[in-house]
Amino acid sequence: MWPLLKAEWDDNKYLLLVIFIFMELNFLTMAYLDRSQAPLVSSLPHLLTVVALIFFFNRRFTEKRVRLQQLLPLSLKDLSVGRIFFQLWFWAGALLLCGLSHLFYGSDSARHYLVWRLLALNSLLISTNAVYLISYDLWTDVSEKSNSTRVAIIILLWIYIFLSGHFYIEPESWPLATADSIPAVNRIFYFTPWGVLLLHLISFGLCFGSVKVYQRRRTYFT
Amino acid sequence: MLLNLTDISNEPLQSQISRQIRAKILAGELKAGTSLPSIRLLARDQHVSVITVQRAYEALMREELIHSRRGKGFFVSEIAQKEKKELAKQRLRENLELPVKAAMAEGLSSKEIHESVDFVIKEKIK
Amino acid sequence: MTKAFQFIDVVKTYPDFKLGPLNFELAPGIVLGYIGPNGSGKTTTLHALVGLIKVDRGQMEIFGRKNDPNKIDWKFDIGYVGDVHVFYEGWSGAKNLKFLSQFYPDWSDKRVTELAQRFNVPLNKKAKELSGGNRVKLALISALAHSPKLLLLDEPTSGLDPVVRSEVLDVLFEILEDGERAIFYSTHILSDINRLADELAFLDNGQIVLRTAKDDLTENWRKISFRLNEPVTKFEAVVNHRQEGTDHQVISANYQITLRQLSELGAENIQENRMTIDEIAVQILKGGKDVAAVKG
Repeated sequence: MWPLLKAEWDDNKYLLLVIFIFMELNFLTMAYLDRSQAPLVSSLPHLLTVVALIFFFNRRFTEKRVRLQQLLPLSLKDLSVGRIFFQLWFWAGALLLCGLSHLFYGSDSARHYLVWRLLALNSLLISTNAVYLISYDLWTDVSEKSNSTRVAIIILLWIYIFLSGHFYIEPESWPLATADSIPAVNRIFYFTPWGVLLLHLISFGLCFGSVKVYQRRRTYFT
Repeated sequence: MLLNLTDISNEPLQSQISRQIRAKILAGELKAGTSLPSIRLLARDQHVSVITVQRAYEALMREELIHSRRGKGFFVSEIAQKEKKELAKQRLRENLELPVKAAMAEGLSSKEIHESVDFVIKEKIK
Repeated sequence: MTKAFQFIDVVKTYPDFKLGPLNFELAPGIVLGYIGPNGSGKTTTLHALVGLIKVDRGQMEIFGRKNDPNKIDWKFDIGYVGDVHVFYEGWSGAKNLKFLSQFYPDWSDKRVTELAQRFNVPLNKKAKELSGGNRVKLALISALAHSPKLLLLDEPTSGLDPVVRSEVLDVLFEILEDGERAIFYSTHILSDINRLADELAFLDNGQIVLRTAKDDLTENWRKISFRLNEPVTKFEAVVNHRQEGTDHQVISANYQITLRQLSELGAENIQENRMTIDEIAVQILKGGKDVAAVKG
């Protein structure tokens, strides 16, 4: 598995570098805007980060890449875990950048929310990652299984991601929002330890799901 | 062993191989006791399938021109000169059947056919 | 002796096509040509064997080991050149090969250099910059470098010029010398396996209609022309018949039987010609199971 992960890193290192720089600029902008009390646009960088994620995956997850890996003398387990592992590792780096940016440039009030924000972002990224992998596998697996079930699952998963992202965006950036009007959803999930824990459980559940979906594929090309 | 095999002939590769080896044996080029290349080596060398060579060797073994020793390979057998002549005569007769038939179908007499054979020996084969 | 591979009751169903049930095997030391028209299932058969698709029924074994996707030992025994060649496109050929070498214990760098030289492949060029022919050559090198006991080849010489094609066949003949390796060669360019193949399996619409030694076909099939005045409805062992007046032309799957009948019938001006594997294959594939039965 390790030679594969090393190879994946090597193959993508320039793209990764560009994305990391892009994300760092995002986070710095966000932290700066927090400081200057212009929270309306502070969540934009987060959204852009997710877009960067999707762009990155599109480039990497091609049928040929799947085929290449599937033909290697690696067990299915190694391959499926390797995929997830690589992505998570990538996002660990992203989180580190986000955290550091906040620590050094964020405002005081921002730091208060820092912990929650970071953790919520963490679970959001892991979930998006896993859902992308699951969607790719379900969408491209050519088999005679019923199409409608697969499409339904894909749609549900992306609705979950969209809602997570939507509620993640700082409520105080909503127009006409006040501290009291932070909706219950945000309060429970993004500002309490239990909520964040639950979000993480869901994220890791989705990761596990993506491992299983890969192993269950009937074909490894489109 | 150098053989001259071709795909553009009516003669199957297997026959070409056994014929050419037979000719070498009968002409004395391959003396009794000489070892023949292994089936795989010949197959690889002449770019033919193993089964092709195997069948060629089997044909030669049936004619008792070669024999195999377990673990040691294939060897040219001892053949008396008289026997060699007999085999060569047999082959010639087999080979003559078709051309003679065709010649007779085209109206040539037995005498004319004999004349043509003499002609070939004298003029064509120097 | 363990078979190089074995297909046991393998079935894979698609909405408009069914592959199988496939029941066949390959002994070591043998080259099996897998022949069939496009869409007959040749590539699907190989995909199933190497684990790119999962079958609906049955199982496959490679040197006695099931091709279990959760195990890797069976993968060391095979070298696969598929219908699509996959590399890290941004890397050079050499880097791609170095990457692969980490996975195979029997990989030989010396062999890589030797093959690259013989096939004339520029290993320092990026994979995406290689011509189609060079990609095939690179794929061949990656399949051969760890000296696998079973070579699975899907149209491996497509896009190659005659010189390289000849070199590839040279290498394949060499590999067979120790008698322990097997080659499964799927193609519809029969001139390649004209000499190489020991046995042939004909695939038509997902089923193997005939499995035979190649020499049996080339020995027994003939194109025979003759003149016959009497009307005859059926010629023995014949799969194709053309007639103009009293001139006949037949394709016989067993010329000795046919000739015997012709001589009994008093046919004249009998001329027989051997057929190339291509010509025979076309007859078999056109005729399907009926033609295959005639051969018997």
